[in-house]
Amino acid sequence: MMKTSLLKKQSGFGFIEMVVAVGIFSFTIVAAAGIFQAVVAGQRSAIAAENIQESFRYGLEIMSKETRSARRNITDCPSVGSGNIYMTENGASGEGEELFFENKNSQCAHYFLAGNRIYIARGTADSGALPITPSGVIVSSMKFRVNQEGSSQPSVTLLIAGYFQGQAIQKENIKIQTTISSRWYE
Amino acid sequence: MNSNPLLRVRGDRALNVYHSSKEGFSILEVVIAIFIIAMGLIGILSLVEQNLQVKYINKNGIIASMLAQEGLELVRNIRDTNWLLGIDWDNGISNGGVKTFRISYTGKSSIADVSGIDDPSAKLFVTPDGYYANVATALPTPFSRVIITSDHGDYLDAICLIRFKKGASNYDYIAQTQIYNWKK
Repeated sequence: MMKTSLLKKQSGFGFIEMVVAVGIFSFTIVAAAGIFQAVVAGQRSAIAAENIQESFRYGLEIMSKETRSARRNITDCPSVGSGNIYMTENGASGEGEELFFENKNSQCAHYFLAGNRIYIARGTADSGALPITPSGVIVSSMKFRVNQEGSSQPSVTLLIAGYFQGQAIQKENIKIQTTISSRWYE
Repeated sequence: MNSNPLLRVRGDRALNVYHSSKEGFSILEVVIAIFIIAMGLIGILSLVEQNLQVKYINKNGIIASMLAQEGLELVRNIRDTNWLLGIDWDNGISNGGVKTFRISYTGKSSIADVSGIDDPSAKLFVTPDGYYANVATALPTPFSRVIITSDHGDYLDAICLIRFKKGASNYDYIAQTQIYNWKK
């Protein structure tokens, strides 16, 4: 007697209950998946930012150290011109995309951009030039502005801008500027 | 049939359940469950948000440190130029006491006294040529920069302060050096 009533009255989930349960469940899953996706995207862009910052910091450190200790060129580096400390491809004062100077070891340094990477050549030819930024980092522009008016102590303002190669949404643009005053007092 | 008293009790209870009312979750239980799940999700979301904010601060920190370095190099450059011109070594960069001023990459001509880091004229903009400078343009940056020099006779204590804002908080970067009149 008892057994029959049990069987008869046994009920599983109702249809509405099912729909509501599935609804709540899928809502939660979708929300969790969305957040997970955001975490992954955030992590990727953090890595991209890390890479670009590290490369730019390294590049600027290398360039500013060598630029700061540049010598006044007399005859060693034809590309710098006699009597100059700094030279761009557009002259001894003003703005350019390449920088020429004689470094403290009397080598002729040439900084330039090729294939979105910063290259340094030391010597009179560019054949031995080496990149100082990795291939994944896109340096979109590099500018040197030599500030020299009359008998002022020359300085170079260095501006580099770029981003890390990757998906558009994770693009991390950065633009860094610094100025280096020459330490050459002769 | 079942000799185990425990099982029998469970069996009876099960029967009772079917006999009386159907026992599902109460609305209160559901609300609490959803609340707990929501709290968890919000917690993760705030982590993501924090991650993005740290990224922004790191990026601007590098730009700020380079701009701070630039500020001090410009002060040094003015001292060197003053030497070359044969004028007072601290001309333009000292007033005998504490001088607070702004300076841009164009050098001495860009020097102007400001009241402090929150002075609107200490703000840096991006010029049409792409440089960071104190020239009001349509492209503002989050950065402000001032140089503070204190005169000590034979040397200047030079501080370069960069500030950028994120929301309501300020992030300050300070570089400091002594500029000596070693050529006298």
